[in-house]
Amino acid sequence: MREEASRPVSVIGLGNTEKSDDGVGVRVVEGLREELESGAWAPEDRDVQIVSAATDSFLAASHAADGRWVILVDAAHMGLAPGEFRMFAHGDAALCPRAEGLSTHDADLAQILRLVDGLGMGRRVRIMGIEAQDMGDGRGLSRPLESRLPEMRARIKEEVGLLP
Amino acid sequence: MNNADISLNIEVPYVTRVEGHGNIVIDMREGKLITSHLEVVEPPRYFEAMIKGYSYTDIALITSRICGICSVGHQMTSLKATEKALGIPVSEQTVLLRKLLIYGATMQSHVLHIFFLAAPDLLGVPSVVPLATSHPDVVKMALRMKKLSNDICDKLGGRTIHPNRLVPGGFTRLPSTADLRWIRDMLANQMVPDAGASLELLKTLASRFPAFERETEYVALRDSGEYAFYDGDIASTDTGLIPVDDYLSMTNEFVVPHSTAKHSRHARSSYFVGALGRLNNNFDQLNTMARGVADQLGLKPIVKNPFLNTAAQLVETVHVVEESLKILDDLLTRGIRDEKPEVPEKVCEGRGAEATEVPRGILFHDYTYDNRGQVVKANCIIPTTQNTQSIDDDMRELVPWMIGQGMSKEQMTLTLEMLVRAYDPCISCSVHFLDVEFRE
Repeated sequence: MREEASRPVSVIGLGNTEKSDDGVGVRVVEGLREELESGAWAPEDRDVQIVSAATDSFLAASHAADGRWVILVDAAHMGLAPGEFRMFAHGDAALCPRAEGLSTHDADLAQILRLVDGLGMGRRVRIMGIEAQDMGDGRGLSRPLESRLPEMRARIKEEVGLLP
Repeated sequence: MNNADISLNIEVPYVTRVEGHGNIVIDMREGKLITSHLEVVEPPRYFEAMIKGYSYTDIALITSRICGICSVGHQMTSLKATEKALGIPVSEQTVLLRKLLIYGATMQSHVLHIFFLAAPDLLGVPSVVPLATSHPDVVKMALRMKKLSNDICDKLGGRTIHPNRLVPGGFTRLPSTADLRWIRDMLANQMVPDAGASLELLKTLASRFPAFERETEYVALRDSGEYAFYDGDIASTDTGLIPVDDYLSMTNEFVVPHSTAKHSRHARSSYFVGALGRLNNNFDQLNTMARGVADQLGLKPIVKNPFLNTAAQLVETVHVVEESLKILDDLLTRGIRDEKPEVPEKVCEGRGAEATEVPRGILFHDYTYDNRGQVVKANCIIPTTQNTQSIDDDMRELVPWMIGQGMSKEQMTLTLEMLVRAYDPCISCSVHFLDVEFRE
């Protein structure tokens, strides 16, 4: 159990920052990286790796296969108000393949999570879905998402502390 | 059956396990091949037009967005072109760190292609997902190799994708000695044995590559001192060396009705770039471990089978691992010097064309700057653009070859898809135009 208690965590931001709110996952983890590197966030007894994965969903599988907890942060359509977010365990929600956007080279997240499940690592994956407002071309987040970035980072830090 | 009797129609409306969207169209009527090509259907990207008016300090960050897989290669080529245009020097340490980054990105991309995109064909499954249960150790090894490659990019470039520490003249932040030592230990203790296991696996699958061959021209950078990735002249197996400044005489882009990506040709109707292009031009410069891998896979120039591009990628994976270890030993012995990026005192107008070998082949960036350091003209020629005509030419000979092998339509369809995947095309990257005005 002690080994499980010190299991490292990877926080992985997905999305395209040139597609407005689609890049929110990357924006969230970049903020966490700054906090981690500046010492503003110092997780106790835990190796935390921050990963800006952009559209490389395979990174979720490679970090899970490495025996780490994985927290994926990504824009989502969940029927919530823009900027609302939910943290859930992989398996607690059905992920549908993206209708468009992600290159087939990277594979979509739903397929990658099937790969993780096949390796028996699915239970170590958490997903933070963030309701997007604007997924069109352009840099920068919409106001509802931008204003809640600190809350999103705080929720992830809380989750890291809660993981067994 | 006589080929003259055969009518065949194959349409693959969406080739999977490649980056971007492309369709395969084959139309043979009574033994006559009417159509055999890869249709690229993605819209143009307009990056060259997009960066006009931007400062030289922003260009590499923007053009790295051309691709999420080759972002390091685009960034590197862009920086080199800018530095050449504006006369910005870089230190030896910067060059060594950049080479390490290119090697890491090459490992990452090659591992992704070999195991996740190509291997399912060789193992008879539709994607990598079923392999998680049938071959879990192989999948875990591939993911381990990919993670390490990504971690190298993260530690050197600040991010796994679209690094943010590389600027004209150097790095905004340098890796620590501990970072370099970590990379060295992981390469030596994890990547080397995993690469060895990969070789043993690929040897068992090598007979499943179609035994198709076609003579063509192979093009790659060639450096007098090493197997070229970072720098060199343009080498052709047909015509020898030309300087990078003359790249337009090599690429000779042209448009075709069936593709939004341009095509290229040089000494023949097409030429081949990528791992096989490099191996065929620079085989004598492979390091010892990589040469051994090539020998065991039966690769010796001139390799004329395009399907073996995947095998050549494994040879290169081993090569860049060994080269990385040499650079790391060098840097750790010298110690990392706290260098700041070179900044030009005064910006003068200028033009710079540069090339880098990225996983899919030779990549060109060419910028013209005004005296404010803003782009007035740009041209980026991507490896897949250069390979699209070669894919079409392969298909034209592959179809009759497959018929001669007695393949079923289903087998032919799969083999055509395997051919496209063998080139590891980055279709989204390939869709570029010189200028907005040009298209209209």
